Amino acid sequence: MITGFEYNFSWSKFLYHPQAFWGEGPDLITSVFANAGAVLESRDPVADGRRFYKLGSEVTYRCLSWFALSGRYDFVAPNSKDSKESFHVIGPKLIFRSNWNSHEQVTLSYTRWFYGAHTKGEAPNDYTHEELDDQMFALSFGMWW
Amino acid sequence: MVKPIQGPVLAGLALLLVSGAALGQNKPAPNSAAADAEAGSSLEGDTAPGDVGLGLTPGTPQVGTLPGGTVPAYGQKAKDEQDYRFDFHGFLTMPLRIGLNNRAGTVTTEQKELVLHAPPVVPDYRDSFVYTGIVPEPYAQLAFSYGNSVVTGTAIIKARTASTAASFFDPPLQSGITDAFVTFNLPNLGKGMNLGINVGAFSNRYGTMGEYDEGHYGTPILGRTNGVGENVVARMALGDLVIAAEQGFQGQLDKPPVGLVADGWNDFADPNTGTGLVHHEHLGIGYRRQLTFGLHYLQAWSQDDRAAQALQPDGTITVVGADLRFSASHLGHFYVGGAYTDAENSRSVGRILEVLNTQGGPGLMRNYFGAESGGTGRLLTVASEYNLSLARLLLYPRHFDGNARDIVLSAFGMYTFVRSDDPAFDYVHKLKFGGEGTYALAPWFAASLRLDQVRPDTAKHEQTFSVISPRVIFRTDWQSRDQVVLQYSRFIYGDDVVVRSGYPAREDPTIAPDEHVVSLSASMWW
Repeated sequence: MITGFEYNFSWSKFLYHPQAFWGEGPDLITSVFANAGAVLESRDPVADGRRFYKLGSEVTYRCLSWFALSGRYDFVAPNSKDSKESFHVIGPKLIFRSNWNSHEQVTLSYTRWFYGAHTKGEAPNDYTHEELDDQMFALSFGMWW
Repeated sequence: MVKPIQGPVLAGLALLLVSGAALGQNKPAPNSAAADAEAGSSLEGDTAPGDVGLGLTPGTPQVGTLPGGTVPAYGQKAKDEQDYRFDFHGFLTMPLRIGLNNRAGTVTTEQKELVLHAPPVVPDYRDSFVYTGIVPEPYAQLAFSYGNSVVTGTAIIKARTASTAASFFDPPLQSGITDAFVTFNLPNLGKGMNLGINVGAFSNRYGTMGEYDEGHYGTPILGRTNGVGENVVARMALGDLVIAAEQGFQGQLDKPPVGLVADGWNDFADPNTGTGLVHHEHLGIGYRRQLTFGLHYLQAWSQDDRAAQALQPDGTITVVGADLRFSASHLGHFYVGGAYTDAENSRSVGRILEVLNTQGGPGLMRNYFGAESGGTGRLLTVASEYNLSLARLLLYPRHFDGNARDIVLSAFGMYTFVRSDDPAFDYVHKLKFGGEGTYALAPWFAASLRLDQVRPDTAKHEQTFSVISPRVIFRTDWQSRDQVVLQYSRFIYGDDVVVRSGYPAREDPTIAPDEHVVSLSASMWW
């Protein structure tokens, strides 16, 4: 059984209401999201009755037409039978784009994982706890039309 | 215009957000990305049936939310749609190539002595010094771009075969999407200054000998980077001078996994190579669009503990070089460049950097340093190319637009000196040179002759070979974007010229190379 929710909130839209806000100005966008699940029945005793959930939040301040600051926090608990597999992730980001509502963005991000004592990779990348990277730098872009 | 806010925190937030409205124009923008996402709420009280969806449409990309609260409006028009345009460019060339030879060994009464080979069995391998590009190769590239004057997204589809003409399916030759990147052009940073930024997966090439292409040898003498990352180009005009600075940093999306069995489908990937990274910096000066001098520095490395050999040292490949390009229409185009490559334990460095078309450290070992070198060695390469249009020269100072008879002459050469930790490959001088003359005597017809000589080891004359290649060229107009070339090549070999055989192809000294090659190739570009 799986449940999930996500809520995204634009503070500028809220504050400007009832006047429409079309994104062409500074904005603070907050998001919260979560998934939870449980294995109700399985022949594998390891999996049977196992519960798992993850939740997170993201805050983005679109301060300039070409620039935004963002931060995201996640908590993942993949196994209710071993809480030491749970881990936290924080990820600050810098976002560049050509205009407020442009159809592209470039993201420079740093991500830091805080692992539990039993956190490990899953197949096919079944790294041990010691083999997992706990920091990442990423430069990515997205474009859509 | 702002509703009363309850509490000082919200009031402060409101001030922060609304005070910035002057930076943007907070007016309705029905075609903007956010507006598209907002379409439902904007139609409150006037909801159309199509505004309600219980799932995503099939064409929606299968990706998660982009960082920063961005709501991509796929398939929706941009607000400034008039500024956006779609571009489609490409290059196609597909040759029929037949090598002629005499059957090796005993010939029975049911066999012809003449044998026909496709592709021809000749020493013309793109990753090797012996590569001349004389034998035409299949290549198709389709480049799709969409954007405006500031930002452009590009995706390139590339293949080095055409499935309908191939005898077996060779996945690495059908590369699929090879490049995907976005380009920002910032033209008004200052007087006479502009800045270009590429972000994404793409190649950079340095040390190309041609004016608009990789030259007769199809080999960038400094290197080609293949990765995902960024590349920044800054230019500043100072009277007749232009100062250019360029920088790039790229990594790879992955590495060959440990335990991967090298095979044809994975292009015989090497699990002993780690994640490759490369940074490169360049500085140049140009004068009146005629003279360009550049200094180059590229360094690729790997420091990955997932390489299969745990004690394998981290590897680096460093290239420093300089080149000079002279391009004046009536005096032709001249290029000369030099590159010094220093490889240390480059066994673990993958194809993030291709030096002389080789694939990273393993490629350098295979073609220059030898298997016992561990990827440690040094190359010194000097190359030059000169192309001259006699019609432009003779008609000068009048402008020649290319719509008349012309003779185009070219001369080109490359020299490489190899030092290696493998004694069998140490202290080797490699040299190749050639010339080409083309007479365009009608709008639809030209005749050409190319001569080449290749000396893979100048101390071993028996490895030297020469090639004579007359051609006739057909096209639809003087400056058409198409041509059909019928070519014959005569290879004249020394006693110890080795060609490759097998899959993957390896040097096989038992094979007698083809001496005659006939090819018919069609090309088009736009």
